Amino acid sequence: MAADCSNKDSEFYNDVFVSSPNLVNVEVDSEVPSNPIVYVNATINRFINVPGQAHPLDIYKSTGGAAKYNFTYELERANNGNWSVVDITDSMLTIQKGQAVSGAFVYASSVYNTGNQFYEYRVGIQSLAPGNYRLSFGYNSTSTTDVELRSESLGSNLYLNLNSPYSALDAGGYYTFTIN
Amino acid sequence: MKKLALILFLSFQFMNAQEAGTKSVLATKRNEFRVDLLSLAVSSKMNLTYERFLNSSFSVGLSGSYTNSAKVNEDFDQGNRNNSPKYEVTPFVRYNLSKGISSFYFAEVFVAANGGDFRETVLLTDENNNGYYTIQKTKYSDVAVGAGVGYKFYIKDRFGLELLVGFGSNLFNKEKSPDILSRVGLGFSYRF
Repeated sequence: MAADCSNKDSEFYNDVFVSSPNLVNVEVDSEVPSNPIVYVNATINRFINVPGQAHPLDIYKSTGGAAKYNFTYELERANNGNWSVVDITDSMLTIQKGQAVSGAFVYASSVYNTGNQFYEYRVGIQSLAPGNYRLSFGYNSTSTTDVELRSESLGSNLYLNLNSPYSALDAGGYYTFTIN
Repeated sequence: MKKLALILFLSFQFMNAQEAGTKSVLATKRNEFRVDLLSLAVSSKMNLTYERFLNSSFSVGLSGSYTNSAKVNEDFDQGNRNNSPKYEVTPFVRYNLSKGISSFYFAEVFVAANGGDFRETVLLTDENNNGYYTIQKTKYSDVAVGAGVGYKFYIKDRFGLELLVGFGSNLFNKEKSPDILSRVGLGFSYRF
């Protein structure tokens, strides 16, 4: 009998990690002052620029045609000097592109559009009470600089992890805004 | 207590008598073929061994194995491991530790030429000048050295059962080959 051991056994070899900035952004739309909407956008070209790589990276082909890239974010509201998580209900979400599952955090999916070859996500949170808010990406993530997206790959295809630095995040990893 | 001592004494005498009786028969049989039943059952690995007994203390042999385990292949394809060992050719030298003939402990040293499939993620450029990641599969080969210990006993001066536990370390290609090779088995043998 043979059990061939490796010090690399704990690894998962189908993961690939790349960094590409500003794939996700936050936008506060105050066009209707009585009901401002906070949009999270993740509209990502199939071919992204990766610092240090000579050619655009095909993130669709690399994953064997992954239909989605998933990421998470949560929203907190200042309450007497403390931050408390905003429980987001389905009725608070306005989904224009992609998919979102609400709860204590939003499970977001940027969905591939075969027509324009973009992964698309644009989902707003509305009906927010006036106050100070902060939005952070990655439920349980320790990153304070990046939004972390992961391909929803099938079978034995590679899983592409897109770590996307977002310049609008503060030193603690939060996007802060105020609803008046 | 006296009865127990008597039983132990008689048992010891009986075992010695049996050892002496089988000594001359087994000592004249210097060749052995063996198949590893455990690896066949557990990991779909066919392992055959020829062993030549040089004298009462030393023997030499050659083991050859091939495996195509569905579980290992599945783990390999799904990225849970980056190599899939396929073959091993293992010459070995054994030393009889207990000087018995019909049953004895032994120690061995071995060298194992081994190889299999290796996978890695590579960044390529397609015909449209776009980069993409893909899994590239190649072959690996390496040589390991190691040691082991075991116990063997014979039935009817012909059929043997052997338990072996040993480990070796690959030397030259650890980036692709497994760091450690195990040589653990339960072998059924025929001596002639």
